[in-house]
Amino acid sequence: MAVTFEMTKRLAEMAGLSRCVEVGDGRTLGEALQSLSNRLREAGANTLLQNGDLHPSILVVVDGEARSAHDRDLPLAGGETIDLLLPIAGG
Amino acid sequence: MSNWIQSDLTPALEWRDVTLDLGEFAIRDVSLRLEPRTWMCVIGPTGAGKTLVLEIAAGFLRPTRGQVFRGGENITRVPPERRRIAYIPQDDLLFPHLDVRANLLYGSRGEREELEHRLHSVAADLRISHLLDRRVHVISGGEAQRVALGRGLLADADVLLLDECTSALDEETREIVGDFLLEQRSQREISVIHVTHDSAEAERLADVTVTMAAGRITRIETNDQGPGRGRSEPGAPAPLVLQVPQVSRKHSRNPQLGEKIWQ
Repeated sequence: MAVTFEMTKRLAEMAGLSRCVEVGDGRTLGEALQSLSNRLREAGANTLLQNGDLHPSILVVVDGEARSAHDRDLPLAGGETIDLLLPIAGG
Repeated sequence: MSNWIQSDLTPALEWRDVTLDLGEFAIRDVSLRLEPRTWMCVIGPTGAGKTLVLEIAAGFLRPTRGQVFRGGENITRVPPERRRIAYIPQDDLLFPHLDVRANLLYGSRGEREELEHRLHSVAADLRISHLLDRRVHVISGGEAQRVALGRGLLADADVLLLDECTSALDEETREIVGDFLLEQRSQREISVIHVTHDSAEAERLADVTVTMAAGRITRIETNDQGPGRGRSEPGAPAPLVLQVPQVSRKHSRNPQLGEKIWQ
């Protein structure tokens, strides 16, 4: 059930991690995000967290499809790529 | 003698005693005012804190001390998507899962018909109309920068944050893009903060140039090309010109060159 998170260059710099982070616990999107949040917390990347979760302003894109906080129950088969993006357009 | 006069107008953006320490990157006690319809360039060496100033304004980072105001409203705790500030970064310019059209429209609001009209107008100006239906991974770096600039101009925002977003362009193309953005600044009444390593570009585009080093503002200077010139002490508010700077292409060395480069 491993999934791969791919961060933008700037997010990776903020996190102090490489741009690709693989997590093993990901039966659902919510579980995968929680595993990533734990990794971020261990790395001291608190700027990317809010109340222990991934900061809600960070955009989550699963295999090319944008997802929201309402999609935490989305089942993952394993092997997905989850892009993490900054909301760079403002607006 | 300077004719830059301290303003009583509400600044488009204001940082008040902002401090943030991320270890490798930090800014300390930054106080700065971006006056309405002003083009402010921020220069300084790598690690000076230039990008942090933009990212705090955009809302990606929250300062450990100090506050950020937009149009007089304290936005320090407002999430990025609600700030009405467009940010164009140096890297990762576009959303990889969207095509060019969707990237351009990301962050824009309004009636569909009006949005389509604006989309095609900006795309034509930036010479990217032929790219609208393409995936972003098949376009060039220069095209991606133009799409990102277009998205910033289409966003529901009147403050534009440019983080070395033309650095990959050659000098002549950068000059043309700068001229286009100056026109847009005038037409759309937007305020711009532009981080650049290129002091010549700052000299040509900026009304105000801010120099940073080691996380602090070391100089705030009006530009020779602006209506006046002056200098203030570090940390003091930037001066404001009471008349809106007149924008023209007169500084462009070769205006005709643009047509060739865009094509």
